[in-house]
Amino acid sequence: MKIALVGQPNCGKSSLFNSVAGYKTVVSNFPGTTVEYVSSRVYLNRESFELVDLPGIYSLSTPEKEERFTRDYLLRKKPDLVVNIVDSSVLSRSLELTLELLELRLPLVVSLNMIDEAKRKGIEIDVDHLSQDLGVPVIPTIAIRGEGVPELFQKAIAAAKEGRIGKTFCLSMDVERTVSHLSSLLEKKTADTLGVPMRLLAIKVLEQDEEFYAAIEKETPQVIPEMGHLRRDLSECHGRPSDMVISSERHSLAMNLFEHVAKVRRRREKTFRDQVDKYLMHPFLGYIILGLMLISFFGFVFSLGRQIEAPLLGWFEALSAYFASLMDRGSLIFTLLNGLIQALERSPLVEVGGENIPG
Amino acid sequence: MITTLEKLKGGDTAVIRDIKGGYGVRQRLSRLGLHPKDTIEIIRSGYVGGPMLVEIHGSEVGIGLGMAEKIEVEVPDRP
Repeated sequence: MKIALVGQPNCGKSSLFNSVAGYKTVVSNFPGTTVEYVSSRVYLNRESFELVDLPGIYSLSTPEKEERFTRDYLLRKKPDLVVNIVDSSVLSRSLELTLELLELRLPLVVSLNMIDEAKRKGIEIDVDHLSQDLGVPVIPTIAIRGEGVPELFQKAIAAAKEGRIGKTFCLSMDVERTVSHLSSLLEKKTADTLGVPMRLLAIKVLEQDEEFYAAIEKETPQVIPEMGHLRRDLSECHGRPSDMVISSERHSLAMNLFEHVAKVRRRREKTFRDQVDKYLMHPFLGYIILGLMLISFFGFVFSLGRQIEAPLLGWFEALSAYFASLMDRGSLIFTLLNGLIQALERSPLVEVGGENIPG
Repeated sequence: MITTLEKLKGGDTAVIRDIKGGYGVRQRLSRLGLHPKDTIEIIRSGYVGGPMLVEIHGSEVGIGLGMAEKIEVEVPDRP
């Protein structure tokens, strides 16, 4: 059984992966850290699964190379279950991807990750409500501390066995009509070779997805004029390009869903980070602070070096004197040893103080 | 008052009216969560060609000035 971890960039997919697989993939606080997929075999309740960590995506249609990778994986390899990891602190934005993933008609489980961060931002999420609205299990987690992860996978495996694929959401009436008209034009064979459900293919055509468009042109070139016609009608009706119509639709669905399940208590007081940021990120003051920090850092290193320079030099001289007492000053071995000590004395390690070493 | 995003200053609030860009710009902005009718708050404006920082739906997003020029916004008139 294959389980794929999918989510927007920087939502904690790799943290979750590591907490389950016990395997160290690179995690950082930057979007786009994972550029290839990593898979690992994990055992849960004596069953083995293949867990796949995919690069983060904002949407299924994307020009970005890493993001295409995730999409290709989802369409071609058909995982048995998709775990959609959601950054709860930016829930409304993240739900847009969830809505797209629901259209894939694959078993799905949503992990509300960073739930602590959302609470800190004053966002309270009604988990049961969200789960009802989406028609799939929703589990709050804090992946970095492993909280909620066992429960997530228990629910995930159950969902995969049941084949729970959740609901799809209705768009506005005229858009929905265009989508169903388009679906009737397109052939099932095209959708199957691309590995997408018919409805999603129609939606993606309206979003001007190049890859799908090219595939349709190849398989059924006769529908292209009619398709273009539908697309133009839609964009004329709304006064903006068809891809924007669809993205606005999805956005408003996500916003409605968010308002339905979450309460936001706006906290206006500034956090400590905001205060620090105000100065550190200041377009002018920021550089001055950077300069001051570098100067004080070097100052610290130099003054520390000066402090330890004298005792170190004394120690080397004592060593040299010790060797001199042990053997003949003219011997080869003494010359070599003395040379070695002198070289060490002058090495950058000792010369941190930056002053000439006497002797 | 209708203007473009890059002209706004830190602390301003505006509503996005339209995105006057090609397919790539539209896609990118929609992925960052910027859509027409959304309310946007400017946290820091861009100085000397640097990006500006805006808050939208509770998350902070950096937008280059070139991109900001393509975003048409409506600012409520000050009384």
